Amino acid sequence: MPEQVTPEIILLAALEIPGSYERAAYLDQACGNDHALREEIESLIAAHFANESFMTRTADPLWFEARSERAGDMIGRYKLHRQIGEGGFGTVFLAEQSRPVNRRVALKVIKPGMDSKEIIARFEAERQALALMDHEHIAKVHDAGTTEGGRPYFVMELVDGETVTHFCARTQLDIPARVELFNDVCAAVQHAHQKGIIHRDLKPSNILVSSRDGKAVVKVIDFGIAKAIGMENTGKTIFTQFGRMIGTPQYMSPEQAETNALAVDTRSDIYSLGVILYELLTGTTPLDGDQLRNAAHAEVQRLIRDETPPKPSVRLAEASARSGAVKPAHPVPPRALRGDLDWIVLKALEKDPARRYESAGALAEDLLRYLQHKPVEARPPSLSYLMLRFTRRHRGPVVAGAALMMTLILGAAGTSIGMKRALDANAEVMKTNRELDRQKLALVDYKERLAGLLESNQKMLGEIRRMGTDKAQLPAEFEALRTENQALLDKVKNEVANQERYAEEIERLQLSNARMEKLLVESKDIDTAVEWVRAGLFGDRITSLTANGRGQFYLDGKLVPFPTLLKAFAAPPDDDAQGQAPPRWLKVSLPAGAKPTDAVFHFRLKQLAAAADQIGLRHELFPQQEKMR
Amino acid sequence: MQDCGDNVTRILNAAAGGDRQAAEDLIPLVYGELRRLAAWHLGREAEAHTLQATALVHEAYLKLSPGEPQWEGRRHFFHAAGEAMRRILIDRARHRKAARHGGGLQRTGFAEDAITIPSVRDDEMLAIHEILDRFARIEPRKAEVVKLRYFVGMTLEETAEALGISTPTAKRDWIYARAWLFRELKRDH
Repeated sequence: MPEQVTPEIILLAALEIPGSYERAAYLDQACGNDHALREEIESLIAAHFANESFMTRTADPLWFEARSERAGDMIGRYKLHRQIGEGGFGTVFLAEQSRPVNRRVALKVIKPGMDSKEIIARFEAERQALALMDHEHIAKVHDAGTTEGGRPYFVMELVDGETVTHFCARTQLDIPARVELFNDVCAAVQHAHQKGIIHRDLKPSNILVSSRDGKAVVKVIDFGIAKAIGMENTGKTIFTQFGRMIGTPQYMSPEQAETNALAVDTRSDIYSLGVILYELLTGTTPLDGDQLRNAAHAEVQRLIRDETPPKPSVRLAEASARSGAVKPAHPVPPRALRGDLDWIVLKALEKDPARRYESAGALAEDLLRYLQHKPVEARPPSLSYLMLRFTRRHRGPVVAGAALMMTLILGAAGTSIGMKRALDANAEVMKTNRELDRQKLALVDYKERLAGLLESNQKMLGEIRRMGTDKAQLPAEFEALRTENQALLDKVKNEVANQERYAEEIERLQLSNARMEKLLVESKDIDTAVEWVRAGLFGDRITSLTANGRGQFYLDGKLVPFPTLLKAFAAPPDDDAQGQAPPRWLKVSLPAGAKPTDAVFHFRLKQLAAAADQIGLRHELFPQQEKMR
Repeated sequence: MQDCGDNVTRILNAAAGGDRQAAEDLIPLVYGELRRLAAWHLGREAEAHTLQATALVHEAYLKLSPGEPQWEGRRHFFHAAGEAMRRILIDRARHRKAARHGGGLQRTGFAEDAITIPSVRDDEMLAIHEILDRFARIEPRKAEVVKLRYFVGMTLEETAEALGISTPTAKRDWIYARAWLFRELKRDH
């Protein structure tokens, strides 16, 4: 006789069957007509999978830590003064080193439950690279070793500061200041990446701000520690070795959250940086920390992998709407994040590493462009990308839709063939205009630099005259230099005059261009007008229109009659037919204080929105519930 | 000290002889022995700063058993040790919880105060403790497995050996107990 079939035998056998269909078939057979047993086993199966970390602590044989380190203890050549912090992986002490130099350091003792030999071996392997790091915003790791109790410890430069999030909240820092502070963090991370070191555990508690000479200085700590304690086997380490989760999953990239994470590289740090920037701007992390902490392992992975966070501006608007007047307001209005900052943050937070910024430096540069009011690199997700994601979900209907769209596009191409030449000419003028704009800007730059040079030159000349009334006291070289300088100056002045003439020409040309365009746009020949307007509308990926208080629309400062405008929107932009269309957005600026629902705009904006929807132009004219109607 | 150990041995032998009361009396004695052993280890600061519950229990066993391989008291000892270790850990978790909520930490003289384990485990441990007795009434052997696996930290093989069952049985018991306890915990909340 085989052994008696008990509920626990059925349970384990059922759990070992991977497919739910096969499992049900087995239960049919094993439980027969015993419905109570069947129910019991099924509820136990559900419980088994509900929380993978439940009671898993037993897998760790190190139950007891005899005694933790405390103030007064000596660890190696370091004397512990007091505990200054406690994190998921260890306890941090303020310690004093007496040999070979007397200095105060931060000493971090790693919590029990990790293989100290392995940690120290990994640290030694990384040591050479760590020594190469030398950056004002990176706290140095001096030393590592094992306590007498066999626990690994790390000795680091002491940073007496608060976390970057606390600092920003306490000092109510404005956005540009926050972004500047964050850029220093990017610079630090970029430096480390260039030395081949990935942080792997970037989060606010590892970014400290202290004050030096009254100036806030940011420092990234714990570089090289995460790797030493084996965080490259990420997901696994975080979840099972500690039983419940003690890491900070809200800063963890999707590829890090995978249990067999092989693909962790510098771009994982970029993701974490994105989360931190998100938090600095909105006061919350993209994924809710509490939700992650309470979720089972598989659910955490799913959230990190699939959950797309709202744009920072949207999150902030939601948060301030919820908290009302109860909580002291975050010093940042949602409006300030809309646009560039939204896109920069979301680009850093892309789930696919290849779509993120390629380096921390690139992220910093884009933020710098934002600070300098220059066009940023980050863009809303492209239409083709969104369409790709959409097609994956709804294959059938999309194929039908695409066929319809192709017909529309072919139709549009047919009508416009006659206008081809006019259009080409138009595009040419547009391009020239943009080029001229760019040159004008460069000229202004150039002139400013020259003015600065001239000023310092004059100052020096004055200085020389003052001290050198007796020419004999000055070296002969001086006189030669002065003459040469004068010649150079004359030449430069001449050049500037030329440039100015050139600038005048440019301006005249632009004026006449504009006049010509105005005539064209307002011409009675509506087809020509429409083509001109379309070239202006779709020349950039973002179509910007401005409305005045009477509901009239302007394109690049030129009034466009509404029927012409609508007709221009009747067909998709011509280059979209390639299927590789750049992302397109429609932005309409209304006069200050005006709302799209105001009577004077409402009807026309609705028509515009509908036309934009038709040709795949995205916009934020009306909230979602109205958009599709 | 020595007569304490003798006392335990005497009661163990009585329990092995089928004395039910002796088996119950055993628990506080093993409890005391485990705490004494822990305190002794913790007193020697220079070495062995880590202490495993499993090692502690095995050490107590070596000290108390007469050294016969087929000794009948063996199962009773591990039964008592599992229960004793559970009480030690629960006392400490409660103490720590009270300290967290009630401000200052009072010294109780427990050597285990100096012991640290991540306190996030306390809530789970206390919750399991609450329903373990109920489980023990329905499934006594599986509850024993939980005590040795969860509270003492034994491996499946060690647990099987201590309870005189096969390793596959210990595994099935453990899987079943874990699912059952989790289901009941969720049901209670």
